[in-house]
Amino acid sequence: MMDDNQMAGRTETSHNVLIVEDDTALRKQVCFAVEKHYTVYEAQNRREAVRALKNADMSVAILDLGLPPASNTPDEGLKIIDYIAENTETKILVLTGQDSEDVTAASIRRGVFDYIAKPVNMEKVIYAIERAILFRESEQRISEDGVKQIYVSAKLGDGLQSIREEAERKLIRKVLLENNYNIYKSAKIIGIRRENLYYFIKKFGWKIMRNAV
Amino acid sequence: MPFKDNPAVLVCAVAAACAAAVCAVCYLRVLRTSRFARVILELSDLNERVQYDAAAFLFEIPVYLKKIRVRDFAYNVCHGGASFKKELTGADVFIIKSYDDGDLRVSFTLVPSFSRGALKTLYALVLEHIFLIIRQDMLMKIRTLSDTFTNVLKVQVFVQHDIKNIAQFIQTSYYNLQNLKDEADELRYVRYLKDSYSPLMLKANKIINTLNLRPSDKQPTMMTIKIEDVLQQLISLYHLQCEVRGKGSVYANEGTIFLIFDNLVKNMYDKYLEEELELSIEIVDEAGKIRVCAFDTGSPIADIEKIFEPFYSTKSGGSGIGLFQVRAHASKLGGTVTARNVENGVIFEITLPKSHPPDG
Repeated sequence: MMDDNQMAGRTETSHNVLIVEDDTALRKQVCFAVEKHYTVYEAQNRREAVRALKNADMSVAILDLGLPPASNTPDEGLKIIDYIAENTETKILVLTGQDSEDVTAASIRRGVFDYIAKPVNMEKVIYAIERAILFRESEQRISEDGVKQIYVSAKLGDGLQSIREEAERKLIRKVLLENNYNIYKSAKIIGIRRENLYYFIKKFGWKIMRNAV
Repeated sequence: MPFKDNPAVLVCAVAAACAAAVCAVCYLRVLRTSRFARVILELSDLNERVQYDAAAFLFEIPVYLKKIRVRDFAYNVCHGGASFKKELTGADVFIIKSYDDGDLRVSFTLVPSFSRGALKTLYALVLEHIFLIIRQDMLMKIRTLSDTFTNVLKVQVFVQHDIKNIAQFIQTSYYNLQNLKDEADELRYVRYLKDSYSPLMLKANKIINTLNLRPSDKQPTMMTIKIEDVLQQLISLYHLQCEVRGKGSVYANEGTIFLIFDNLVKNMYDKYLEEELELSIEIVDEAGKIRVCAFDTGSPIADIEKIFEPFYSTKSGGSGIGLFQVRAHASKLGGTVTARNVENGVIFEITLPKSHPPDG
């Protein structure tokens, strides 16, 4: 874990951290702990979280799964994970009281970076943010070299077709988003013809929306 | 012989004897049937007396079966790995009725003293009656157990969620206190603590009330509370766009008033997250009472009167405690809570007596 001197030496505040937590008292405390190092955004439900994700590039999202209107189920949190995975490069740290094996598995399958069960020592959360940012920066560097990383969950025994489709879908979506749905540029980056890219857009049921996610 | 000279008298006598015999047989049959009917009614009473407990019922029935000369009986009731049964003492002619849905198995066997004609039907009737009693008792018990288990689980999930958040709040506060660098940091932290105080109190109050479920009989601390302030505070807490019109005060316990209106606003908030709608609240100061009408333009609520029943919820994972508590606490104060679907939305109406401090 990094000490104070090491912390002070970094340019942490250039990173945005979104804290999604419906418990106002807890959210305020987590904000106080995190905003010493990063620029913090708050959300207390999915609607606010999606709005914040559309308005700023979040490096990390600290996400509670049990959110209203279904605070006693992980449904809302999982929907936010799906949104983030589909539309952003944000690393997700789940910080939740929903610690059943099913929920943990569902979150990990969706590609969350870390899963932390409440209650936890805040130092572990800060440390997890550090690691998430480190991973994100490394991925961005790798990306600059023309290598894209995508997260695909595969069930062995189901054949390769579904894995191939999932990988195609995620890779194309990622490139399109990064290039603001510029078809010419995206097709060139992926290395396919524009007609083929249009085919995939139609196949996956996307709508071309510039400046929108 | 007097009949020799008058065959008609003989015929009449024979006919009268036959009629008397038939009447006697009928009378005996009626007596027998009424004995069976009486036993059937007594078995129903017995079931009520043992509070619909199938095991206790079966323990008591021999006395009743003896009255209709049942020679023997047997039963087998199995549910969830547990069973209670009695077997026949010997091989005999018997009638049996059974039920098996995979989870619950019930069978009841009766050995009648006669197994032919009308008597057989009467015994079959008694068998059917006892069998139905056992099956209904068991199904009722299973349903009650299942409901209780589900409801306990709902409360547990709700409380667990909030208690984990409070534990996390303590952990994070401790971390923050340990890492305060200077006076500016301390002042900033105090501001955050101030922001945390009100929602935390509300949460703690909610947990205690959920665990108690019903309003406490203890004498609470009373004060004059402005309803518009309570509503504005809650609306701000939930980041809601909701106009509050009117003013009104009540003299009551602050925790109770917050609990009532927090549940009301939380209910509006949950609905607001699910659909696009407009919200407004109107406070009407009437003679001796305050009436609060919360209106939303959302979709109508199905089975609207059921929403105040404990553990009834239309939301996924909903505990079904919130609105039940609103009504329970408002009633305790002498108020009312109703909900109704209107043409373009839903209205929740809460009335509370104003009450007055002891000095006037």
